Amino acid sequence: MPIVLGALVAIVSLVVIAIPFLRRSGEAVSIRLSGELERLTKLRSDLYDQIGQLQTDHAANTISDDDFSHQLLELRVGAAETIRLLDQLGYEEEPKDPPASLTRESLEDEIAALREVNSQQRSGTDE
Amino acid sequence: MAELGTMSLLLAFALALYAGVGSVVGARLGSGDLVMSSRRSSYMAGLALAVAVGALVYAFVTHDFSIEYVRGHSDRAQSQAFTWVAMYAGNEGSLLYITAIFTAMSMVSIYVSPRRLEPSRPYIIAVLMGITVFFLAVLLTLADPFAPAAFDAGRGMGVNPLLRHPGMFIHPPLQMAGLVGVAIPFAFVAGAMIAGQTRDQWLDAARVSAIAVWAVLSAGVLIGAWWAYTILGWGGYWGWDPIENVAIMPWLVLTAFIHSVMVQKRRGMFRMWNVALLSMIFVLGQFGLFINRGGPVVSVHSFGASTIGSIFLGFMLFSAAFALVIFLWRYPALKSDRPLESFLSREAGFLVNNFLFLGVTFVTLWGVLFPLFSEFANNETVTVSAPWFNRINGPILLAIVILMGIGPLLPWRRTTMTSVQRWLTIPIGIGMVTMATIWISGVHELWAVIGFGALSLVMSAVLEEWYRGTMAQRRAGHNFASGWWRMVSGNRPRHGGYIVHIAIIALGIGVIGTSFFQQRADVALAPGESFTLDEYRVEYVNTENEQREDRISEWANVNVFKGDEQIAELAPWRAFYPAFNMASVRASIHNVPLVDIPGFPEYLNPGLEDLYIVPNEFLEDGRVVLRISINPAAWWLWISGPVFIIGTVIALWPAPLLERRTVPAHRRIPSTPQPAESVGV
Repeated sequence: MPIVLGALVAIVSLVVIAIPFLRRSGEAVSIRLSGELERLTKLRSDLYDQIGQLQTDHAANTISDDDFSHQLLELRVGAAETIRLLDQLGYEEEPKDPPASLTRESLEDEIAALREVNSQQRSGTDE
Repeated sequence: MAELGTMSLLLAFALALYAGVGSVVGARLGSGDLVMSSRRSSYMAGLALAVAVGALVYAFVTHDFSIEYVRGHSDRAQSQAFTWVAMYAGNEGSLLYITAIFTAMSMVSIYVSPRRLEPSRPYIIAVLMGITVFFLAVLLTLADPFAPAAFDAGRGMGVNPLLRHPGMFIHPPLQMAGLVGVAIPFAFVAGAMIAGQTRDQWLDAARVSAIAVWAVLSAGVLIGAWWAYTILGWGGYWGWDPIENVAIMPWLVLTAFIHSVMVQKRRGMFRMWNVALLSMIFVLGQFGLFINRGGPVVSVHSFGASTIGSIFLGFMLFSAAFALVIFLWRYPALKSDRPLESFLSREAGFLVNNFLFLGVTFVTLWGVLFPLFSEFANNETVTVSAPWFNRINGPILLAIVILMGIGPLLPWRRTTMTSVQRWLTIPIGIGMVTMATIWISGVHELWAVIGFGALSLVMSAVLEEWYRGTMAQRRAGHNFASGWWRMVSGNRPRHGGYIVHIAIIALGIGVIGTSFFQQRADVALAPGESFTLDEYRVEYVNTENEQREDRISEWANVNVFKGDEQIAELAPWRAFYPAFNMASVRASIHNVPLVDIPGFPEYLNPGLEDLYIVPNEFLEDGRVVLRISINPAAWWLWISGPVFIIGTVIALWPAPLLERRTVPAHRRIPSTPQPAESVGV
């Protein structure tokens, strides 16, 4: 009986490890793509978290106004760039609970407005 | 069952070897099928090892004394419950256990590893399976748990008397899992380095696995301390024993890593440092296995000198060389994105924290190695005992506690001295007031007073941080409780960490209480005689004994009085096991509240002190030699455990799940001329 059980485990193992060779799949590209999507969504989520934490620290008065503005801008630019790359990959998911005062819409509106101002300033400088 | 066990081990060896080699070859040849097949093979190796463990446990439970290992570690007289766990009571079985638990942890790690680590995954599997193959090779050649007994005597030796304790069900499995589990975060970073994913792709996987292993090791160490307290009969819980030391060293460096990894996550700094820390943790884990498995240092925990000690030493040296080669190979790619902007910053606080943890680690390592060097160089046997460790490590640990109070109040990047003064005024003030109050109340143990001051500094820093955060939430319209919870859930790693700091405070109170204020006496009492220690009078009534197949047990019945009131009847016992020529004692511990708090359950009273009685010897003239101790604040040591777990669970709790939602095309952000690298994307 123990030998039969051992043989059974061996046969099951062989079948399980042989399956990938027996089926045709074109998963490689989609795996690479989903890996990139996951990296970007994780990065976006981390940036959202950091913005939320920064806001909490600022509200709790543990960070100065200057440092807050400087760090917030850096993080928002990072978040916007990540969202743009995600959009290019056709990604359409959203964290359930973005940090306070940071919905995707508000972030995108704000960054679009900033870009508008920047482009106006640039065109003014060019002229 | 021996046949099934051996077959399963051979099968696991073949599967693990195929998984390790196949994944690397598959990655090199670009064969996704081979990589996937190898990955599945690693899962099946776990299954085969589970069958091997099941076969050994079955052999124990059915008293199959035809297997040498079962004969040597169980008998029919011992409690049936211990036959279920006796499989890890000896060298061979415990090696099978660590192989199985390591492979199980590897399976989970491989299965849940993020997709962004896809290029690294074959190498991660190779590292994990390489370790598994090593363990299995040792099991199959030098430490076979299924080897037949020379003859079947129909009975066994029984499990080691010191292991017959409820702690046996929890401490060894956790401790061994933690020690071997430190290879998991290392495998993530090593695999990523080999695959060229040298930025932060491995960060979350390494961080989460490191915290999980850290929690397992913490629980193992704490339960081991409780076990030692109740059974070893010396009234202590930590003796800087070599095996305790080799367990605590990876824990210390893991603690350093858990802090410094936050800097990498938040600021993109300390990448190289974190790779070095994980390599160090891995090598220290191997060092622990070497010392534990027949290494040259004698300990109550080790399996004694054996030939496999040198095999583990060789594997440790190979592991160190492997980690060093990978580190040097990828060194240029590991440089940080940013410099340290200011020494008045949280990053700098974490760096100092790391140096202090490494300081304690190297002092402890030196204490373990010095006797070996001394014997090698001078042929002189030297023992490094607890007072030496306490004298050197004590002040460093105190500095770590003080930094625990200051560090969290420092912001990221930089701040000004004025701001630091403003944030630290209250915690430092509370620390000073605590010290003054304790001193005035008549306690003049300087280090204890400073220790209590440092602990109150940490507690007030945590409370100040929580108060500020909660008040900020209240200004946003939340009530106090929901505001606090929103603050905690908004940054779980940070606030989970603060809860762990509170557990450290509890641990610190227990350590100070039992180290500086313990009272102890060894007395020989005849029936009817009593002895008074502080407020307690211990009266020895009589002795009872019982003879069993495997042991002769004796109980000392004692009455305990506080003033004129009898507060307890205790029966500490001592048993002699002829088969082992060994005695085992079990202390009787009575928790006495120093202050009665009306309506408060006694076991939750924070003012408890332990009256601890253990019978060291029963003399032929009818007297008994009792060791009586009063251990103030020991309760705090054990209550820290659940707090540790709560803090770790909060720190590891996953982020909110994602929900699918369509983003209208007109809201999508258009392409921007800004290069992705400039924002770390």
